[in-house]
Amino acid sequence: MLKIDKLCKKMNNAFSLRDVTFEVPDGMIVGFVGANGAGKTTTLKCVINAVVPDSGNIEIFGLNAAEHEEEVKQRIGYAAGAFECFLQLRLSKIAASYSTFFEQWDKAIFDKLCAIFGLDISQRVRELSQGMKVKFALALALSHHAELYIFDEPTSGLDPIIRDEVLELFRDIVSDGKTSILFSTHITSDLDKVADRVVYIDNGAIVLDTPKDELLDSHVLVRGSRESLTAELEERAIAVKRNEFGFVALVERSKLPDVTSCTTEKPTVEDVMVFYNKELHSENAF
Amino acid sequence: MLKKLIRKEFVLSVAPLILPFAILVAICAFLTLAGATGMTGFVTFIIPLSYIEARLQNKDKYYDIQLPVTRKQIVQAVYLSLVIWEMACVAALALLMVPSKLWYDNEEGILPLNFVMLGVSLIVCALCNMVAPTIYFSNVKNKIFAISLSTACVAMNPIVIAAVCITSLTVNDVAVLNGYNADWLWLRATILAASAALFAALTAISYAVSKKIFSKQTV
Repeated sequence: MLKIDKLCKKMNNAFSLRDVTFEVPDGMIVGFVGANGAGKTTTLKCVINAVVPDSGNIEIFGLNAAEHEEEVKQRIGYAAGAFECFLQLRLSKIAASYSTFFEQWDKAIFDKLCAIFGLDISQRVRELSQGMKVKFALALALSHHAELYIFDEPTSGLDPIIRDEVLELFRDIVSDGKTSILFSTHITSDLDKVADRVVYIDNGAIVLDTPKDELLDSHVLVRGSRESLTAELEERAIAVKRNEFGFVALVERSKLPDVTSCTTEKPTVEDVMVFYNKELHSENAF
Repeated sequence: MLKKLIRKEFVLSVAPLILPFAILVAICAFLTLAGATGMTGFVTFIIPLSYIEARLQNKDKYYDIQLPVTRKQIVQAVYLSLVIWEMACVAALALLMVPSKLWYDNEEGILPLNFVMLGVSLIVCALCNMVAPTIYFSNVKNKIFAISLSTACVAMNPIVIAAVCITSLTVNDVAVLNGYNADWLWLRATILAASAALFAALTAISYAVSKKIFSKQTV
């Protein structure tokens, strides 16, 4: 569905993206995570041609994204956080204008989404809260039967109930096995709930690109007292965090030594991200 | 697709400016009747400039980018919308001039000269305003150059208006000799100076907005 190959982008003479390569397969939800400034938004902007990469190739639906921009964008739904344009206009007017561009615009879906999100389309954009602006952006992006959805922080600013509904909606969207979603997020619990695959970017380079279940199954979180932290475990661990009560370490299951004096548990996506981040930036630690 | 984009430009970006435009036209109508021909420049360009500002601000918000259109089409639509808008402004202001006192005094040979100057300034400013976003929106490699050039184009407005003011005042020395009240000239000079200052302020805003957008490295 989406293939990104060796994408490079320099901004202000520094690398923003370095050989970014990953794929979004058909019928999958791919979570794109990383710290602030890691390159998530730049990558997504490159996909929709808002930023022109210095090198690399982006293929969507088997077509070169830059060369077939119009055709490709007809089949993409894109939303980036809150809708912040045309603040003085009513939602109905914006949606009416937006709908003229998409051959497969479905007013019934738009109206249904507005009802789900509690959006009053007679309101002006400036009258909406931040969360409502996010919902409006999502409603626009989800109403033209796209085959690939690209969302930049789609759940930020949403209350937990609506966030849950949005994530459910994501699951429904991909249930046909053909539609895919690529979304960036800081809320790693969203990945735990819906992502099929996790792509982790750090400092402009892809660090992890793996199915979520495989990622979680292949790692173990080890907890224990300070005394139980052996040199072998410390050496094999991806990273170790010490506190006044003991330690927590993330270890690849295949490298797990004997840890009978410790407790082990399955990590969350957040645990994996935090520990990998700690390992990658250990030289910058306090 | 281009037609849709132009319609979108007018529905979403220009339409909200119509009310302030109508108010300004009303003010201008009053001032034009009082002989402040230079004020026409103010009204003619304030809206297109507001439009450019609005476009630059909204550019960063991805609305255009997510539409199934190319960057080139967006630039073309902005350019054509500006052409249509500028021409509509010029036509409206020309109509406003018709009932003015100056219109009836053109036997003295003053009004035609003012009209020529006004016409030239309108065309120059219109071109500058149209070129500015085109340069900015185009995919020029050297962004700083593009921003500087587009800002310079918008900055041409106060320069042109100021030039018209000075020439107009000189010309109107003749008008005083022909029985005009000198107080009107001071009023006109004040209004024109205020217009020029406003344009300068708009230019500064335009530059600040451009820089802000540039720093975010979008299109």
